[in-house]
Amino acid sequence: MSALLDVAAVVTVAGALVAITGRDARIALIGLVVALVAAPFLADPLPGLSSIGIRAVAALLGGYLLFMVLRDTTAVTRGSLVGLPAETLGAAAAFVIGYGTAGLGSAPLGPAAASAAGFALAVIAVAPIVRGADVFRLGVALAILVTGAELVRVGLAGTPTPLEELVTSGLTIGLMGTAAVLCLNAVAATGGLALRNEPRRSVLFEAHQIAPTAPSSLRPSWRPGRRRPARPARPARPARPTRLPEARPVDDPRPVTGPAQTVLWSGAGAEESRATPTQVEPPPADGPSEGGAEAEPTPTVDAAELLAPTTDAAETDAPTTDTAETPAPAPDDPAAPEADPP
Amino acid sequence: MSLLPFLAVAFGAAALAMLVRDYRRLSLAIGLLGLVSATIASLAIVPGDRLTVGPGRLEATEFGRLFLALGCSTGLIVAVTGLATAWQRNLPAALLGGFGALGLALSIGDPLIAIVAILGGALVGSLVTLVRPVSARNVQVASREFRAIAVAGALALVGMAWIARPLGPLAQEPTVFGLAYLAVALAAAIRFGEIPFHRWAARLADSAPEIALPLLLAWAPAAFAVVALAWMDRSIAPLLLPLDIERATVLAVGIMSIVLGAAAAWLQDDLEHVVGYSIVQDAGFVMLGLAILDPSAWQPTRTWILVFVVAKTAFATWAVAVRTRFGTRRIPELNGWARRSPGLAIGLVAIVVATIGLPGLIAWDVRGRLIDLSLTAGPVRLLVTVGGLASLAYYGRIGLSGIRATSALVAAGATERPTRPLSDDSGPDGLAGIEERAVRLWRANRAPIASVGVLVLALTAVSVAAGGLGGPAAAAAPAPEPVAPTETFIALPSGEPSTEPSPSTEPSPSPSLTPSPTSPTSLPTAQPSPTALPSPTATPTVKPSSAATPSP
Repeated sequence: MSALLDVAAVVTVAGALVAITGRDARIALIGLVVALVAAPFLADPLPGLSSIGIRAVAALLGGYLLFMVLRDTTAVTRGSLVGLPAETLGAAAAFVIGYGTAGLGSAPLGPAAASAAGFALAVIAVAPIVRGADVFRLGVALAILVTGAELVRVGLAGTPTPLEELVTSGLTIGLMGTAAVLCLNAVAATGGLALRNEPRRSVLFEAHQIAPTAPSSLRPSWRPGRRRPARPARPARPARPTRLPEARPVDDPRPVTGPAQTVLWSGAGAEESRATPTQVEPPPADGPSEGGAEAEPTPTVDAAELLAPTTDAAETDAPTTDTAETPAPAPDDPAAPEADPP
Repeated sequence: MSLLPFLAVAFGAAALAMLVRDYRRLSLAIGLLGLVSATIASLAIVPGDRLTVGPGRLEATEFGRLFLALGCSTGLIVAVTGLATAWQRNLPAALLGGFGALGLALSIGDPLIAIVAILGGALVGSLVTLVRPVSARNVQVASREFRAIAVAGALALVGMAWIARPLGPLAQEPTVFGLAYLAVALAAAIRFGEIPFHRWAARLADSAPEIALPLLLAWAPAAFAVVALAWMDRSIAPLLLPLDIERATVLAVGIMSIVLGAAAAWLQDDLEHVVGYSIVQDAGFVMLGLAILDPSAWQPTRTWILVFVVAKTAFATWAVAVRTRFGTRRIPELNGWARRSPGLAIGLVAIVVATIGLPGLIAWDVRGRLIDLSLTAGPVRLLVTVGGLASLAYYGRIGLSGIRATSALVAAGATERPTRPLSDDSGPDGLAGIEERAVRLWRANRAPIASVGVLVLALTAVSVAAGGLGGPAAAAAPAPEPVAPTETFIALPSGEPSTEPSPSTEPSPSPSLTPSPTSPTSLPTAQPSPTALPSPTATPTVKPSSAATPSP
């Protein structure tokens, strides 16, 4: 029994780590489902087979609800801000603390492994809940947090009754279903899973550039020797016409502010880079673009746009339900257009 | 088991209405019929009925029956009023699913399972926050609510689980009980959006459909508070522990919400914000009830919860009716609304009476009783008393704008007088013709229909505030008993010293937030709270004093 508990605890925490750190939302979803399926095994004595089965079915059903949304999107999330190693170390520390403090001062009715996994899950879930810029990661983190709380409860108060397992299964479906509805609406509103207009981090620790769509979030980015093969050279394309910031006389002595590099990182120095407009000569109208075959075509960004402050999408959106400024729509009946989520 | 039909109707109709939501009229019909059936099924619940589910058990209670009957019936009126004003397609399904989960939670004796059920119900209810056209702001507000629900649930779950076992020597540590109590009380504060946890609730009031605010901000958090109160009454209150710091913290949250919530509601120009902050303010009295930790708080707190949910439902519906009729929800632009809509004016007066009450009404008595039990005499008590009455300021502001000279927007609004649509003989005959004429009649009379809905809700609120519908008796009824003792304190082995609070741990009188001693008097209808008595299998290690015995 002890070995099974240990394995279940490790699988649960590992699944939660994958769910939180994965940039590919589908892989993160697999991690979440694995964690939720393994969680009911963390009890001593084990709950009945029907209880474990209903929890597993609930996890799979909730996962499928999220998958239905993710299969229609780019499925790239922001990923962990601190990276997999830091998350793993934090979870490991919380695991040890949870194991050592099992019972929280008194003899527990449940296994210490449940408390340990519960503590680890709570620590893993904190950062996305506090940050909350990505609705998928927020939903995953909240599901992990509630699962962690349930595990702590199992560690303290013992194996849940079948009624509690049944209600918990409903809660699991509710959590993941709500997350799926939020993701669906986020995609409809912003085209992606992120709610804030922030550049996706493209450089880890100022050194290792990653592809826009991570092939596998399970691969640690700091692991050496796993570079992608170079792409074959593509034929040069004519440059797109660049929009100048403003019309000016030909004899204007001021330098021309032209296209600039896209900001590819958001770490130290990013603000300074944004604040300094790149001064380049305007490219010839029909000449080839600069850069070798390996270079990705950089989208031309007006320097004036780079100078503009990055605004929160939530702040720029006009409140659509506010009728203070505009006359209220005519009251409706079910036969007419109405307000509801897609 | 009389609870089973209610659960089957609520969950079944909610699922069916969601499944056929692409067929609007069918989904609407299922939702409304489901609400009617759920109301009838809730009235048919027999208190004391039990249903065994494995080793667990569901038990119907008088309070749960009244809570569900009021919820489903007012939800039906809200939905019909919404049809005439601002419709939200998911509303009937969300109401049914939410009240189904709340009914399940209120019939479970084990607070841990009840909290999980309430979490599920709140999540179902949160689906009504998303409206079309979808914007990033709406999604962000909905995600904030999602976060508040889950974090509060996790906090309460861990707090309750910590002492839901034989504690052994840990039972001698008041800190353990204090932290568990604080976790659950603050979780209730987060769910209500109490100050300083009000940010998500304020955004929600701004972005969510007004018609859904009662379910999101009042009904679901109120059920959470009912479960939390039952847990405190069973697990914390009988121990008579010196939890002054914890109680002072909870009291501070309640006092801040009562005083600052009234101020915030008075400052707002937007009716939705006024509704949101008024809910925050009145929920402050629930926090006072959670801070008392005495069996005498059982009945006043639960009575106030009943008054609170119905009155706030009526107020939110009133705001929807005003907004859709006059095309604005800004108070400065609503000058003359009362002259134009006497029905809504009567409704607002009834809502004020139900919320604040009059001397002699139960609402007035329980508010005073909660202040008496939670605070000793002093400036803070005076502040809370004045703060409770300060809601007259924002109600008065709305009322004053109603008797001013009529503004252009109000003058252009629809009249409350029922009208008959122009007869048109070119329409189809037979059933299709009847349907078309009915739709035209409905569209021509949206304003009076909304006013009638508001009036019915306001009168229901007044009735509950006056002690009608069996509210005080239901509030005094016991909570469902858990199957097995899940609590806290077990008998110490013989020979171990008792942990009766020593004089050194007596609560020291604090000049500001001193919880008042238990008053020997109680409401005439107050009955002892059976849940306050330790279960026979559990013996407190802290010897209860005479103050712990329920007052007659």
